[in-house]
Amino acid sequence: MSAVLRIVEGGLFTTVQDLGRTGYQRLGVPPSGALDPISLRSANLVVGNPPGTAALEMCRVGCTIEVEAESARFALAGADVAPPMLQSFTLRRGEVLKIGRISGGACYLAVEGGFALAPVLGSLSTYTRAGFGGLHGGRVQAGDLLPLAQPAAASRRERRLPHPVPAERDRPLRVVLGPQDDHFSEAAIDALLSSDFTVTPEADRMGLRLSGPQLTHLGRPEITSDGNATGCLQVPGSGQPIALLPDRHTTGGYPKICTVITADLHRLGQSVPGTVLRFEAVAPEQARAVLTRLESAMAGMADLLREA
Amino acid sequence: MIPSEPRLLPVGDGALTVEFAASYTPEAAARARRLDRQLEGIDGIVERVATLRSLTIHVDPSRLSLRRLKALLDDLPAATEAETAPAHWVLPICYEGERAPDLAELAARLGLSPQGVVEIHSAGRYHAAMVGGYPGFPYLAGLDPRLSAPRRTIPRLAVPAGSLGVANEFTAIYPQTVPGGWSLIGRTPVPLFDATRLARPALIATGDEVSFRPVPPAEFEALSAGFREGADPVALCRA
Repeated sequence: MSAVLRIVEGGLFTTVQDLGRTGYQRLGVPPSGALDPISLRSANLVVGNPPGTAALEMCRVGCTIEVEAESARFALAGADVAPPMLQSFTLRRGEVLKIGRISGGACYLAVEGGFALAPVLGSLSTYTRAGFGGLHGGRVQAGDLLPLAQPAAASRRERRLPHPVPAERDRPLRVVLGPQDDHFSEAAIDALLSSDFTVTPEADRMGLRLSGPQLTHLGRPEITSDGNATGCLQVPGSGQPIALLPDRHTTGGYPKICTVITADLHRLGQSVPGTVLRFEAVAPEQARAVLTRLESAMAGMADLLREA
Repeated sequence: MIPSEPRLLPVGDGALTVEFAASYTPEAAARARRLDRQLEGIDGIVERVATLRSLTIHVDPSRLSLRRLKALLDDLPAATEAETAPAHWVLPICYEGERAPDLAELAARLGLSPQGVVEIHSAGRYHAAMVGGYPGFPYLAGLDPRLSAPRRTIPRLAVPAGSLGVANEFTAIYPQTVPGGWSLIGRTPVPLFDATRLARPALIATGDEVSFRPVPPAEFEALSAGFREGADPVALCRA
């Protein structure tokens, strides 16, 4: 008898994501992968998986699943939900897990052993725009059967983390100016670094449209396409920036005023409509120091694991 | 050392764009491709994206800082290697009826007959100056200036997969059904992108050559059926 998770309700936007695909942007393929890679890695840590094991990424409203396996061990991390966070738990055949409302952006449900799915271009991440990766290239929906790599949970005690990775949650998102900051006036750069920007309802895994003071271009609001990166703030003619997320285009024709640093991408990925964002400029060298701190905090989390 | 001072633009702490020109030139695109090949296999570089005018180099910032990457670029020998012979693809295109929804309007705007547009377009030999935006989407340079027109003012919400578009100095094919603003003058039955086609997920790579072969609707249908049944476009479309 095969071991699967039966999806009873899909939730609002639930996809299989790992840490993304690497090496195919030259073919126009975006990296995809978790909006909040730190939470994905934390959930995997609690169930004992390698950090980049694919999990279910749930946005705003989570899924409901039924275990059709002898047993399966789970952990949740990321934006808060009703079931216990950062703590492993095991369900037996026929038991149902309902995630429900998510207070915040993305919540990750990791399962011990991961999913028995074939990678596409080196990754299990779902890229819904082109319909590949994950379970069937799309959102996980009611009736789907998600195959598990492990027929039953390993026999061991449950574990928990006492707290999430410290993440300077109230601090502005740190950005490196550029690559096209020279397409904007000093006043526009000042406005970028001193104003509140609110995430609008136009938000998906490709990007977040922000609303704030108009960032006026010095010249035409377009460039001959060049390379994008996750975290770039591109500014179209409206003067309202769009923060690029993992399903973004690989190249783009709008000037990019700044780019959120790697260590803050997980915080950007947790933004939802209504979230107020502020930005703070740093040099690439400072960004590297922040990343080193985050990674050493992440490495230290393994020592904080306790029996539940 | 990279000759004649390209600009180095940080893209956060995880990428650096080496910009050779402010807009597309065949020389800038060729320099980007040369640098792309020179950087193959360097530890810490995770992706390289050659565009119409630049090369964006993505790094793993915990393994390679942008400062070290810049030093590494400074120390590169001048690229002398000639480009290896690019692949040449011949794509069947149906330039008729519902598969060419903007042909009449574009022809009128350009002061040509629809047949004239098709003759000029299908006589061209094109060059993939960039693949980007969507998986396998090629920006094909070499469009006859007589066919140059700006993008449509109102983009379509869904351009059917296989659509052949023209805009400004480029022609392109949409591999997936996605929103788009190019004028559509034909369609190919060839699946340009298939993530499960392991040897060549994107048929057209940056630097490749492309020509078009007009086919009537009946042949378009027959070819479509063949590809649905598993015909290999890599074998069928190589010139």
